[in-house]
Amino acid sequence: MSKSYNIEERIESTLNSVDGIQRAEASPFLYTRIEAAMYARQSTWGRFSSQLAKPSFALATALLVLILNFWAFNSSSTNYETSAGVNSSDVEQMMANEYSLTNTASESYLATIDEK
Amino acid sequence: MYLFLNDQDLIIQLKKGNPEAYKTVVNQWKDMIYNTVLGILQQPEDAEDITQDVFVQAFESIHQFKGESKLSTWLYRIAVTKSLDWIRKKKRKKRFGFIQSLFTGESLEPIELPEFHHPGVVIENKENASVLFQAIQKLPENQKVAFTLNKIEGLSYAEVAEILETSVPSIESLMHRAKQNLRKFLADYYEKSKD
Repeated sequence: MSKSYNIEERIESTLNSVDGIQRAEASPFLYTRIEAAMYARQSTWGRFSSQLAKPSFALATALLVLILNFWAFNSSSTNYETSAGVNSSDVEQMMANEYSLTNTASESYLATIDEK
Repeated sequence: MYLFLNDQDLIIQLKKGNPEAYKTVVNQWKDMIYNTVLGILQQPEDAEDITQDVFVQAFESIHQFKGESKLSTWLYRIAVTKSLDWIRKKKRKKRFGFIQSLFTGESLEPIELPEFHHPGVVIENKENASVLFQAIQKLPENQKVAFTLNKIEGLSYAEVAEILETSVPSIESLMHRAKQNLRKFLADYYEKSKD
């Protein structure tokens, strides 16, 4: 009985131990730290935007865009040929056959003339 | 030096980026924010960092502040959110560390908070208050926040309700449950310490 009473008493005094607690004080240098943190964040963006405004950065970006365009154009034409299953030499051959311009045809024509 | 007439004037100057307004806000509310964050985290160094983050975020998002509540209420809300985020992050790290230890086979040292002594507690209550803070750490998030705002920061139930965007009766109920849980934790603690 006295044991549980003792525990109850301790619980009560523990729960009341923060009564009249004083507010903890922040560091007096807190504002300086906040100022520095805000400046660091702003200057990160500031540095980034000033880099963007440089002519060398603009020129490099333009060159990169041109290279990417060239590469994209090349790769798309290669893809087209592959997907159709026909390359440029095949097309030439087909045209030559269509109009009887193959080497064998012209040679046989010349041979006929020679015979005559 | 610029003197701000009221909260509205202060908010206008904050939105204009007036450094005097920033300084006024920090000087006026730094202790209450630090005390709240310290009460929730119970880690002085981390509480300093979080307090700093609270003000930086407040200044950066001042344009989103609609003035529907008091500036102090808004700052308290940011402080509570940031503190709870910090605790969740720490718990995630702890869980990840445990999973990692299952794969690596290394034994995981339990990360326990060091004994916390709030600087505002009177000397004769230091020991009891330290035990109480250990028990507060075991409370569910909403009970912990309500208890800290009311008992450690000294806010009324109405002010706590405004910060947590709820009603006064629900804060009363939260506080009642928090005290019941604290009694259980403390009873366990004192029972074990007697053995």
